[in-house]
Amino acid sequence: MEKLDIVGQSKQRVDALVKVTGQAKYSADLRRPDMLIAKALFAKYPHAIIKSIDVSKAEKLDGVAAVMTAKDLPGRNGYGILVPDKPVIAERKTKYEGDPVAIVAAVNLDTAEKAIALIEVVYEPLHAYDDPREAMKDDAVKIHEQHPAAEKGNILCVLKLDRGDVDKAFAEADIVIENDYETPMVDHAYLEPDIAIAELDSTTGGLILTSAGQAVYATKRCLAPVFGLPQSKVRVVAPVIGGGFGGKEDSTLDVCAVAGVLALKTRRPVYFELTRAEVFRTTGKRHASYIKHRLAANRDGKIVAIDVQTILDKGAYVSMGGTKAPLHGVTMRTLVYAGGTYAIPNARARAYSVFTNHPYSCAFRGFGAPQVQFAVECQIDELAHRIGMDPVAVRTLNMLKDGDMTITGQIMKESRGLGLGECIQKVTQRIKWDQPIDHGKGPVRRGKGFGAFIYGTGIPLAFEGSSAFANLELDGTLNVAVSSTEMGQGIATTVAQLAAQTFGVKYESVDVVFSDTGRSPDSGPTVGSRSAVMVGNAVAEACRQLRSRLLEVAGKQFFQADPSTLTIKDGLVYVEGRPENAEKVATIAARAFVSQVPLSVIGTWFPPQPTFNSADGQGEPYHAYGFGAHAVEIEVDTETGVINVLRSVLACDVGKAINPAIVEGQMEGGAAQAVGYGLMEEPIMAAGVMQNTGFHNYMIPTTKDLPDLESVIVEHSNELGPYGAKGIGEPPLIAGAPAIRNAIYDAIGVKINIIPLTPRRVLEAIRQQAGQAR
Amino acid sequence: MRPFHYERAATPAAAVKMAGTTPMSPDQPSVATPVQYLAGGTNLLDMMKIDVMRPDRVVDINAIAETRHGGIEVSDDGMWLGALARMAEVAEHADVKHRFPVIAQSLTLAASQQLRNMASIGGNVLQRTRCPYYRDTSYAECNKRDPGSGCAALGGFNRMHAVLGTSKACIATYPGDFAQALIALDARVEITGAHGHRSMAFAELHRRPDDEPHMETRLAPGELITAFTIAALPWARRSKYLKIRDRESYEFALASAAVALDMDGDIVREARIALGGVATVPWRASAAEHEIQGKRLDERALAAAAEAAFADARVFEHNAFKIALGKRTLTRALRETAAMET
Ligand SMILES: Cc1cc2nc3c(=O)[nH]c(=O)nc-3n(C[C@H](O)[C@H](O)[C@H](O)COP(=O)(O)OP(=O)(O)OC[C@H]3O[C@@H](n4cnc5c(N)ncnc54)[C@H](O)[C@@H]3O)c2cc1C
Ligand code: SF4
Repeated sequence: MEKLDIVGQSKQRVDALVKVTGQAKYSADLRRPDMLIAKALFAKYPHAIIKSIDVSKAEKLDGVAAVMTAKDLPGRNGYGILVPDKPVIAERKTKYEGDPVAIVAAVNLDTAEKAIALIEVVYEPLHAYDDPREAMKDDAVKIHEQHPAAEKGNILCVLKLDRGDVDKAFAEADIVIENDYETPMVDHAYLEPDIAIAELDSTTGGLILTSAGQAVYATKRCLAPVFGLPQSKVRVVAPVIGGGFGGKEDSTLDVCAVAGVLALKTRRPVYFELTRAEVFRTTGKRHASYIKHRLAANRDGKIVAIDVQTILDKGAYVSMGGTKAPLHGVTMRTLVYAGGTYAIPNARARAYSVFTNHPYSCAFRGFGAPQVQFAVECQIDELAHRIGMDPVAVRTLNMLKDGDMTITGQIMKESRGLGLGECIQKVTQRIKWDQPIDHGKGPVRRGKGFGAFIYGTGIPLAFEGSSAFANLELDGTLNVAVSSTEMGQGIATTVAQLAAQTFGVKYESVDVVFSDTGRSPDSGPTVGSRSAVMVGNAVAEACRQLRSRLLEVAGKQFFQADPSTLTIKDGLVYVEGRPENAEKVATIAARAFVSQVPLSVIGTWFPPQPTFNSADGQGEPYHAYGFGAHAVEIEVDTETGVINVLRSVLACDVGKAINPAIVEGQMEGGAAQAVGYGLMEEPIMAAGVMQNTGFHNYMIPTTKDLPDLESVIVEHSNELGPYGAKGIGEPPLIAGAPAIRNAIYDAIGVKINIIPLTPRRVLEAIRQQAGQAR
Repeated sequence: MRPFHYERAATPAAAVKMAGTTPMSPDQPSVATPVQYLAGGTNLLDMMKIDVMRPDRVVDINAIAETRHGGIEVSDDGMWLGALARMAEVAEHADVKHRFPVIAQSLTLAASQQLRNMASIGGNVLQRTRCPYYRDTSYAECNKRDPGSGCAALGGFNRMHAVLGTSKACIATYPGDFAQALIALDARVEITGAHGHRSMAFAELHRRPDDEPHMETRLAPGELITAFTIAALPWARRSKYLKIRDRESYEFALASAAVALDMDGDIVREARIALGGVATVPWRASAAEHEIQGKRLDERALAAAAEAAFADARVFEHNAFKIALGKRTLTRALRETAAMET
């Protein structure tokens, strides 16, 4: 096998220097000549009929260039990644706090704000729904009077998974464990707020949108009808991004739509930036979930069946929530992962996606997996305690191994990487799982907890795949273009390493252009832990083609040798084993150029086409899965309810770490986010109105809330990934919260099935348990 | 943020004079005072950005830090803290840490390092409540901002709100930490105004909401805090600040206790207790002090002190947990203070 000297190294990130020296330009750093500033008047009531809107005073204000309501829009008043159900400007009804009712462009922010304050709206408020379990009742007021995809009332969809004979398995099982779990709707809490600049494209007559977004091609396709433009006339560019976590797949549409229609109306560039409070109130969130999880097992610890019902808080619009056609979104993932990372022969899962008057629930790191796998990992611990078996032993006994079948009927193969066993082993070793912990005697008690996860690489839809562009310059440098976005996760660096390794130039000789529909083919959205694998494969394919074209020329015109005996390394071409007799890539490229050999290539890669049957939830949604194990050691202060995470050890099977430092970055970030998800992050909603809309009361962890986050990289190669890689973007978040919850049980014997585990919730649970014991 | 006039003053006298040129009514809500001193700005600028404070004039007093009023003086007679000393300077001062630990701890456990580097201790004691309805002008109801308008917190999400010292008009929590430490050490505050110099017991500075929650302190408009003084209590060394919060940095107290104990063996000769996070003002818990005076600090005395401290507590829809938490915080602080090596 080829010796890897670039892939597998923690190369300095391509964007490191410009970022630490402040030269990198984020959307908020950009200005355009003659630029207007936009503001939106958002709904005063999360659920209301709009009786009338009077914009006349705002229009008369000096410095106001345009005031628009729904009737002034140039195209379709609706967009969305799956279903175009979210209006650019609400017309008859408001469905959540983030619906714009009118929008304004003015010469400066001050004027725009004044204009917004002058708009008069008369509403007839309706009952606002916070709880999907209430909204799904037959007599609930329909939030969407007519919805293109809804199944019934406020129920967007009900998805099903059926495998084996669940009822029989439950009837015959020794043990049945049944619990209700709840996980919160959380904000992505990215540092950079949502921003868009829209301007007319002087070459095509269309629009250029510059915005912090995770999916430039999807943005173009979703919004072209809104602008009344063909897709070819919309160009979308994403500069470097200050964090996305899935949220900026959708929120970019919100800001681009507003800026875009105002730019078309005023014929001037328009800048639209959300305040932090607006980001909290109006942009997408993680789906809150209400899960009833039943698990049947035998006394020996073997799980025989699950029966799971998940109700998801959809918020006001479909976003990435899930529909039957296309069968996609978070709802479907709650089926796929309903049994966690275990081989379970009989399974029934039902997932309900229900509209409420909350912000639309969208993609968020883990995409449904953290919700159901929280339930699964708590259930496994309960099973272990019930039968007196070690929780890790129960996991090892049941985990998916080579040849096992998942609950969707997919056969797992070691050739695609099945590293869970090694992850478990490494984590238990590090945290000394076998050694008893001193639980402590005073009010502060200690405990250890464990969690494991599975997560598919990519998008389980028929179109999954990527294209990338590679261009060999005549000086021997290499340009690669992908439409993926760089939001701090490191894709540009990963792509550069893959290109340099595959083609044979120095890492420093590769430059990567990213996220511009005008400069690269469609690499797909930057979501689903897919880019290193899907886009990486497309880049590698382009570089392989370029390499063979160059070797062809070198063999014929320079070395008089069979190209297969030649190699390229560090920008030099030579006969394998004879580096002293080398030619520069630049020299050969120049010759190729005059020999009519094309030096630009579009590489593509498609995984085996994903399948998933909507009738029974069976199929092969992903070509490969990532795995991991997470153990924590915590301290519970039983007098105050405060939980302190003392240690966090996370091992992830990534197939191949193309850049280990970047992989560790993803792992540490995910583990930190898991502490927030498990312990503190929670929007407080009152009849659709978010009460904590700033970082002073919407809490995310600080470094002081985190222990040293220990990461262990495990590599079980995926035969279809570039150099064996699998996805790592989302997985590190998944198992942290259940590990913390399980550790609390270990420490004080109290079970809490609702996250976040705030001091108040912990104290209440301790008190309740004490009350029951009495 | 709205436009304002900006001026600089290099001495307390100059600052007071500058402020005095705008006529100010003593009945105006504290938050609406048209002239504001700018110290670290970590609270003032925040409040201006969210449009809750709209001063016409801002008098920058940071140059006063170059005078004695930016300094820290520790002697056998006690301690003198200039109002312009930064939180970080006081928190990290070796003598303060050693001889007045409750002061240093209350500051170290507040805000974040960046904020402590900027924020002055004078500004700290005057920081505004974090009541979310007070901080969000889209809520019309807030008696503190707009007298007579009502209180959105009463029927709202009041988990962070007070259980002690509340009134029908306002239940907002006093958010700071340092003020409790000052009370635990019987500190005084020095004030300069148009009519000269005065000083008062620090515990008198803040006013309970009662019918006038918009009147937050006993400072007259334009008065400037110049210093805090603490007399040499031999037992100030046996003092401690305990703070319980939702996360470990950058966060206000759910409950806190500042405690100073004068011990004769295991008998409490004298005690000072101030509570934070649970009350509308920095809260001296005199009844709790009384419970342990002259007693051995056993579990019974601790429980009695905790009961006494919260005997008059009143809870609202979301904050009932604060009573149990507040009691436990206090008993733990007392226990740990008694066990201190001094
Ligand atoms: C995110 C965050 C977290 C925080 N967490 C905590 C915490 O946990 N605990 C805590 O105690 N605090 C906390 N704070 C508050 C912080 O400590 C205060 O903002 C700071 O102490 C105020 O000091 P300053 O010098 O910046 O005051 P400024 O903002 O300059 O002034 C505040 C007010 O006091 C007035 N003022 C200032 N100096 C004087 C003076 N000498 N005489 C008369 N009036 C004066 C000003 O006019 C203004 O009205 C936090 C703040 C933030 C932003
Ligand atoms: S508690 Fe006080 S500050 Fe908060 S809304 Fe009520 S009156 Fe205003």
